[in-house]
Amino acid sequence: MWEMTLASLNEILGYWWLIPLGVGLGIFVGAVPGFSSTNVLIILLPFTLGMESGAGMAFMASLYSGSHMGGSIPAVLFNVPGTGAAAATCFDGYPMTQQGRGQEALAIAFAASAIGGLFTTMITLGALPYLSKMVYYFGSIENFVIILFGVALIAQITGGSMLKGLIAGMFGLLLGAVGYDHVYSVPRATFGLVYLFDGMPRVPAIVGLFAISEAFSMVEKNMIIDASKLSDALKEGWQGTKRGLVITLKKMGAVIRSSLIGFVVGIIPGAGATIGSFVSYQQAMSFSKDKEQFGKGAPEGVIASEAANNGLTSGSLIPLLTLGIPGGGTAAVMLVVLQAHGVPIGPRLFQVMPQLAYGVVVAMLVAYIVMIIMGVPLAKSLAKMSFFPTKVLAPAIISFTLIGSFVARGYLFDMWIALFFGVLGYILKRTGYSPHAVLLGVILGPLAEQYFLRALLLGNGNPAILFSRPLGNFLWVLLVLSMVLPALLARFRNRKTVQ
Amino acid sequence: MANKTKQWSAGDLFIPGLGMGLAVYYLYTVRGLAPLAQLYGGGLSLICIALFLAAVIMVIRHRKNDSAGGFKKLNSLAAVHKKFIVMTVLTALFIVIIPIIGYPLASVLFVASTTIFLKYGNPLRVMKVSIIVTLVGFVLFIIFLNVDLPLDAVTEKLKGVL
Repeated sequence: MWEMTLASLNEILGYWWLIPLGVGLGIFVGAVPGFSSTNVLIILLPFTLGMESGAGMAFMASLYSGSHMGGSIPAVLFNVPGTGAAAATCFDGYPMTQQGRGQEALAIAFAASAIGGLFTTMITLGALPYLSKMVYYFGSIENFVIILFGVALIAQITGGSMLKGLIAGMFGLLLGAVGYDHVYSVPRATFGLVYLFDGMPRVPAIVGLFAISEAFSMVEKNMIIDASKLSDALKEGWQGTKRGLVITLKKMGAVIRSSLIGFVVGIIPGAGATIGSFVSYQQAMSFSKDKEQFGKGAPEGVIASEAANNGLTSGSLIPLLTLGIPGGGTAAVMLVVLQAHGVPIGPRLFQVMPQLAYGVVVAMLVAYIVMIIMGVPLAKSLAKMSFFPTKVLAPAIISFTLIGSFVARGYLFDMWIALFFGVLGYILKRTGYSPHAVLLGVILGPLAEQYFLRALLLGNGNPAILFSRPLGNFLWVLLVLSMVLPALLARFRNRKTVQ
Repeated sequence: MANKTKQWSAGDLFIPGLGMGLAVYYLYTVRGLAPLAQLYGGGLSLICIALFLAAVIMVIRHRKNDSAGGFKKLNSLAAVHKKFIVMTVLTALFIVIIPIIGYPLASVLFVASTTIFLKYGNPLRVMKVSIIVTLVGFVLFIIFLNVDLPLDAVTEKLKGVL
């Protein structure tokens, strides 16, 4: 394997310049709301198809890695997740910016992204052929339980009132159940609008709940940053970046755990980075000693989300490289490029062109090193964007994010959906409900329903099927433990303190 | 803090009320379908209705006594949240005029009207900001990322040239 890695590295040196180009473009594209690496790879298909297969794959892998890191920039600075995977980064990244700690939050996001991605890419490199077998163990039941890890967050991000948290979460889940049902293809609660037949569009929902509602709120003050913290933030040199790096290095255990969660979710075809970051955030929050700080600017929250969504990138390539199954949109575009070059897909790839398979992973490894070099020094300059007056930022955010909501499907109607969610998000915040819980429901609800119904169909409608597989049962136990164990440990600690 | 979380006002029923409305409509649309098609969303709908009732009970039992409580909270929205309401209306108008006059012109008008409303500065500053924001959007989304937004005749030609 090491010989193959070195040979791939040697080959990559021939077109090394494609990697920083891909990473830079990825960071840029990831930062644009509504755009994903998939959109841009489709636009750039003529360019990548014209390259050698190895060079094309290396460029696409670099762009894919960079896009997840780029998504964190607007999430931290303006509460606008550049990609769905960065939605959980907003939970703590944006409050940090409001406290004048934007530079620190960006440094944490970049460092956690790069280290998390680097770590799981090394695992991928070492165990690529063996990891492919994992895909076979994940069926509808296991996927359903994994999504429940994310849904469990609803009960945890209650914002002070459990009842309000549940109301918001259930409302989100119900909004997510709008559209065709997954078994009989009957439209449900669509108000007769064909635009809703495919379900509640995710990008406008994210854009509305986070970006537009925040733009409506931010005009009530002059700056994003609290007035009391502004002068310190303006004077700050590189201290924020240093603090962010130190925090990330001190919390290396959290980075590794979160990236591993993302990695495992990434291997499952179709699961996606959004689920990975939510599951990781839920785990980080469950086992944190400072649970109350989550959602108010906890660095662990930023680490959990960013390490997971970057840890996921290499994992998501495993089904593509080993079985020829594209796990998501970006992998599907890569598949097109591989097929266009006549590369054998699936297990034969390792027999016929092993250097190509390893080359993609090595390119990703180099991309993460490039990301550390390129990204971390940017934190200081990027953080300055949060000093813009809100009177300019708010209309600019609304204008750009409305286009972002249009991009995904090309319907002007989606701008109305974004506005609806913007107004809803504003009212949710003002009345003490959690917009995060609504978003979780909208994003994870359709997936949960899909896997739940598939599992039931397999069991001829008998719910006992949900507890019929060993891996599924193991995951059920983990889910229950992650919900119950932290509370028991806290009670045990409290009792010990009292004694 | 603990006391504050226990306080509820009638305005807090807006979101559960919206949830209940959707739940009732949802149940109406799935009536008569196969049980499996009703199972997930139907179950959620019933939970939403139950949560609405729980919220009503909370409002009755823990109603705030402050002047901002009760339906006054919603009624006073117009006065307290003037900026939010105007921004919402301007955003809605922006969406309406995009297909009519094209994105660039609509964006200039939207940014100009919002910055004037937010008292950003003199007309020259407002014009500058409106044009810069629109230009960034045009170059980024329409030229670079090839987004197929409605355009006016002039920018359509400009896009073709670029």
